[in-house]
Amino acid sequence: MTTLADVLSVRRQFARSASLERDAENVEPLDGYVVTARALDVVERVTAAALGPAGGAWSITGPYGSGKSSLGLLLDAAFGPPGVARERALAKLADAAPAAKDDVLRALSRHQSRSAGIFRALVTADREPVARTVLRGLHRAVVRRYGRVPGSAEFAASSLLKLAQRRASRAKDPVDPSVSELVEIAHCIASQSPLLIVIDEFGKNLEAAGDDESSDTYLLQRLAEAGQGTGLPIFVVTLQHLSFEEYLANADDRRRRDWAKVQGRFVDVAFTESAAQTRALIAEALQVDDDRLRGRIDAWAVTHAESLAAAGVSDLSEPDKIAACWPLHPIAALVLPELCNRFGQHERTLFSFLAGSESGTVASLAADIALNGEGELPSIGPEAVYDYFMDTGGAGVSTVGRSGRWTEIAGRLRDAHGLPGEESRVIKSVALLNLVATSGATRASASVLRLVDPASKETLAGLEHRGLLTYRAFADEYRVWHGTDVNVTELTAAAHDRIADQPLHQVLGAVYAVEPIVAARHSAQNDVVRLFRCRFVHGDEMIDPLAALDAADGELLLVTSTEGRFPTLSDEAIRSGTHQRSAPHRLWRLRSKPVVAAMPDEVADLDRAAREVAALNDVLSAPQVENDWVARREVGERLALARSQLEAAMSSTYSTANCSWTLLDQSAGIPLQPGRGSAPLSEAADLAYPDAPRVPNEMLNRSELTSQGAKARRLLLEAMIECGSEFRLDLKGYGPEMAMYEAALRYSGVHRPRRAGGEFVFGRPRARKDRVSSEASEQIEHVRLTHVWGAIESAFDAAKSSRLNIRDLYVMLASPPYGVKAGVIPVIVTAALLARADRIAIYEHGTFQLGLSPELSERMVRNPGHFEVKHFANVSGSRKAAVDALAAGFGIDPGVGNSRVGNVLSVTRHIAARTRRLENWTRCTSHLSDRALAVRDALTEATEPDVLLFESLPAALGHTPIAATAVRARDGVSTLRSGGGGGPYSAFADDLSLSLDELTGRCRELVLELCAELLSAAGERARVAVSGPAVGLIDEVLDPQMRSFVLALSNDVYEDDHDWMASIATVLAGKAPSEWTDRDLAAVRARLPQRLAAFNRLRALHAERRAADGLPFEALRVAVTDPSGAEEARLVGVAHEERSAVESAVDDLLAKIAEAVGSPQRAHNAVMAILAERLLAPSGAAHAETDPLSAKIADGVR
Amino acid sequence: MTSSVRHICGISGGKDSSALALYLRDRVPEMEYFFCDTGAELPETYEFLTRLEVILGKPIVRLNSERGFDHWFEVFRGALPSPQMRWCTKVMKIKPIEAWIGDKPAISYVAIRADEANRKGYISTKPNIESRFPFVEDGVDHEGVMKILDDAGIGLPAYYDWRTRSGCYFCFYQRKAEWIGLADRHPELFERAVAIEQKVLLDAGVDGNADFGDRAMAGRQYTWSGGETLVQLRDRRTEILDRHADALARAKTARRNIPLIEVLADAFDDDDSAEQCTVCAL
Repeated sequence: MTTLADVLSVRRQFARSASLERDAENVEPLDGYVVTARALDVVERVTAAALGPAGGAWSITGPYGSGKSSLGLLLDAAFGPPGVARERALAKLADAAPAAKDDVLRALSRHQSRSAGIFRALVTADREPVARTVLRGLHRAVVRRYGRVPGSAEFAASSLLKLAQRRASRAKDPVDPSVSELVEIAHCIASQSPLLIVIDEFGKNLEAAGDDESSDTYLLQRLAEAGQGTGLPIFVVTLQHLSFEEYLANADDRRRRDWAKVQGRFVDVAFTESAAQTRALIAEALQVDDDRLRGRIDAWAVTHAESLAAAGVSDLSEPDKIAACWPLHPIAALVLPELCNRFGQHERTLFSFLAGSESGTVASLAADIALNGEGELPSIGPEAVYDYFMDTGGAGVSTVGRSGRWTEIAGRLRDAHGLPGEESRVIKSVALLNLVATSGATRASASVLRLVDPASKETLAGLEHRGLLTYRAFADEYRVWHGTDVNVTELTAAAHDRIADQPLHQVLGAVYAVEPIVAARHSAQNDVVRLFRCRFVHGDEMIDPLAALDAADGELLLVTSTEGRFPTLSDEAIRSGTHQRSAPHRLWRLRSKPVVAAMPDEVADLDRAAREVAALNDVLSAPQVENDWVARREVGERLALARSQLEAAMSSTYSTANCSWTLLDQSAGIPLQPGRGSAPLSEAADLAYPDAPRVPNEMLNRSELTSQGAKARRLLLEAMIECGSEFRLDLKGYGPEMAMYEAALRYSGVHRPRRAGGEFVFGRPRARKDRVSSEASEQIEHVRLTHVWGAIESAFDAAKSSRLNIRDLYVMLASPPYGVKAGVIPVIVTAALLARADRIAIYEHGTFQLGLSPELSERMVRNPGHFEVKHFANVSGSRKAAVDALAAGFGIDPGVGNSRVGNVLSVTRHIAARTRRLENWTRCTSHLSDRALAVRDALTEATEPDVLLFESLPAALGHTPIAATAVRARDGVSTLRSGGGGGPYSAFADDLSLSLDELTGRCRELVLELCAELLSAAGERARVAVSGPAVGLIDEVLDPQMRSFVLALSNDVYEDDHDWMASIATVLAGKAPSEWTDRDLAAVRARLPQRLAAFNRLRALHAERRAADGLPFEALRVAVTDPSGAEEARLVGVAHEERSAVESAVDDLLAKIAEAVGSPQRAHNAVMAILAERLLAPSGAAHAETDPLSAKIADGVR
Repeated sequence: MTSSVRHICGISGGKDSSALALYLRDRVPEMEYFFCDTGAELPETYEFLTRLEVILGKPIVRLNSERGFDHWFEVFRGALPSPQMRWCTKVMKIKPIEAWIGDKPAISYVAIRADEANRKGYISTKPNIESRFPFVEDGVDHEGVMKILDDAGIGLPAYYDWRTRSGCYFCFYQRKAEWIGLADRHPELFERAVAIEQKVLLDAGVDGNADFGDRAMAGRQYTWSGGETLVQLRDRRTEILDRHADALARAKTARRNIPLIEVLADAFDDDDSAEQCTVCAL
């Protein structure tokens, strides 16, 4: 059987990678070599130079596998000595271009080198300096000519070359030759015969050059120059994959410039092949040896050419080109070049497929394909190409970048293995075309696939039916991956129709979220971030400005109409008022936050882009698309594109230069200069916030604090309230709260010593004396905070007759012209409240508060609207006299300076502080004097300090109300001088003091009264006389009520009679006295005598029994206070039968001591002291308990 | 008394911790008693604490009295505590206790009875605090506790008539029947709880009520008691009380001759959660 292999010979250009060192002087690599057009081009350039007056330098750049090394071998052989290799090389050249061979021979003759060839320094570079590479090359060139390095008679540079070679190759400290040495050797060589230096892998030299400093550049430059102008025939060819610059990407600028200069000496030759050239290479490689087939091949080619032309594939529609590629099927020939470039190593892969000996190559397939004498010619189709690439190339693909599509297609086909021949052939053809398709006619269209299989229509239908292929109508292409039936284009058009009537600003509002813009220049200059919130408007709207406490500082309106109209501010904005405090020349005086309108010159692009995005968004949410991932992906890709177009349209439409900018006001608006970036917004912020204080603390001076920032501010506020009089608020360390303090309070002088070295106070900002600065910016800083402070003070001053809500204060400060950031406001407001603490009353939930406390401040920061303040100026006239009298009566310490006493608040606070913890009993009892009851009612009902002090309390105490009018102190004398004492109001002050004392002390007094009642009912004078006997009764009582009563009586842990009685009373009432009602009191008064009577009966009974036991005793309670103030108490006693013995011993002892110390009195004292020390000190306790009687007594106590 | 170790005893307002305080009154003279005040305790609890304070003859330190529930409700702007987000325990109990104790070594006496030794109270994880369990050590059980209270003549807090535990009047751990108890005994507190459930603090705005409805979790209906608002719960009053009576009866038949207070503690309705706050109930 005749096979294709019998009529076909496949030339091998390079089946494997070539090596200059290994393959030089080897004939075999040249055997299958095909001289490509670009290889010929290089040979011709070198030859032309050799025929000219001097040398030349070329840098050849081409991808892996494109045959650069083989080109080096071709040059080497062609210019070498006569022999098989040169013959073979010249024959190849002659095949490609007959003149080329003659030119080479002429060039050799011109240099008298035809008999010996020229010097050829072929070398492959390593990652090493060029000098080392060149030295190796030169040494080799000489050795190849002479068989060794000859003596200096034969070769002038002999000793130099030997020395350099020795130095470079010694094991220890090798030294590379210098540039001048190498140049001298090269000159010496070239003076004998032309020198061809070919450096393969030159990129490695370049990489090494990028690493370190050396004189490499200079060497290359000298060698290149040596061949130019001076006339020495030196030819330098470097071969590399990338351009010089790309290898030197990591080197510094200077080195890159140096190498750019060197490259300038070289002629660049790009070593890449077009698809048509590659196909010519294929044609060269596939030679049909049997001329009898020629006619059949031509006929075969004509048929296919027609089909290809019909399918619109113009790349390969000439019959002779199709014929030249036989037995490759034209579709295979069509895709191979692109396939090799994308998924292989260019020609190396191509020739592996054509000439390789492994299975699946053209050469090996040819052996199995029968060639009949007649009928249609067999061919090697795309399915073979596919199989070969999948078998061999798949592994290497992952490095090539386009592996995604490869992997996807390969995966799908693997899943569909075992298809019958026709289907397999068709589906693989589709896969192959899918792999290389970019655009144009080379795609898996029905007409192209007909070339592969005339009956493909049916096959395709079958494959499509089974879901292995899909047809994408919009691309007229079959695809191996999933397809979709969703007509995205149609859906998009419909979506466009739906939004056609929607105004542009609405469309944009839905599809484009504009980020807030920072007024950059203004922000940088003022140490604060001013943000403008953006939104789209049509242009004829009424605009409500942002709320004062909104986080943004202003609004930017992006107008979408180009009709020249711009929005107008609503009445509300105008109503919020204007500020007068600013200089008269100021252009903008509204109190509402600034609103800027940007009016674009042109919106057509923006309109188009926005509607496309909106339409695609709409399509993406359509149910049929949501359920179809292919369609979703397609829409997603389109949407990504549309979004980027919208982005571009946005930046160009609203770039400062393409818009006119206006700050809206009551009338025609203020035009803003376009400038760069956010310049117009900065200008607007300048106009709106001229008085913004500068607080150089990024953590505090912002709209919303971080949680860290909020914590630091809380600590700062707490320190302000609790340590306001301390240096630096007694803050320790350098935490964020300290930085906030410095920025907001210290540098501004708001917190400062009242006088040098004195206590610290809060007050109106003033320049610190120790920090007098002439810098204008600091002056401004100071002036601005003074404005803010002044605004707060004015607001306080205005709150005399009605309260000021703190939130309104916040609103004022956040609004123009101040624009204080929300983070800073509480700090400044707190400082102002503390500065005026003696005049500003604070109300929370409408109720008067004693003052600022940390917890109240915490609530105020969160809900300023729950708080109000009211200003109580220092009173004058009769009211002042009254307040002074009260202050003196209460012993309120008169302060100094601003907080001088004589104001309503300090007196009110004193009263409130005294009475706010009144016991529940005191709050509801009627057992108080009439005056105390009336004062209690006044305190309960009053809400305003002045009303309380000057109206309610005088009325309660039977005095005339104190009028607010400026009555002279003397005038009030007649009405209020009811008692003696210092001033006209001292009687009022005295009465009030008495009533307050009664209110705060009555409950305690009541308990003491009960105690007296108890003792009198028990017939005793001291509680010890009751509690001592009670101890002995504990075990006698079983009735629970009586038992707890006796236990209470016996309990001796209490400090004083009050506490003892309170516990007894609590047991009696089941409630503590402070919680009683008058009814509880009555019940206790009724129960107490009954229980005591029972107790007395029990006591008598017990005493009798004790007498019977023979151990009666009387107990005493002794309390001793040691020098440290600690008290020790104990019950002591002596048994009756021991009494006379003990007494006589004591008498003797006392007489003895009296003799020693001089008097009986002193003796008594001394004995008492010693006994107390010994018996009652803790060390004596253990000793005492060893005595049974003492132990019994002590047990009773416990 | 110069010992550097502090002795502390927490009072919850319940019977066990009160009995422990009385039990230790003479045993640990340097004892410091404390109570974590949420500002939202039942009036009965406050009354009982004063009673206990008088009998002990020593003040019970009120921790946290400046920042009670209303404070935090305002600071958190209407974010309500729940079993899932129990900020109440954290900010009103644990933090104030740990701040008060500080870093000095301290011995904390915990009121776990001998008959409930497997219950866990708040046992601090702070290394300087050592916990002791005198009732467990000395074998004081429920009966012992009642005897201590009786002897002291202090009795029980009045809320034991209708509620099993101390704690905030709106405690989300309380049972449905206890909510009804609150509505019956303290209608004004019940109304306050109803308002808080709607994120409104009565008498707390500048001059009226503070409404945080548009702040914390705007639009989400919070309910103190699982599955229904307090208003809905109150409408089911009869049903809840009937079920509670059934549960009481069941608990009673299960164990005989036990005091009512114990029966109450065991009588869970079907829709009550048996969980409780280990910190508050201590």
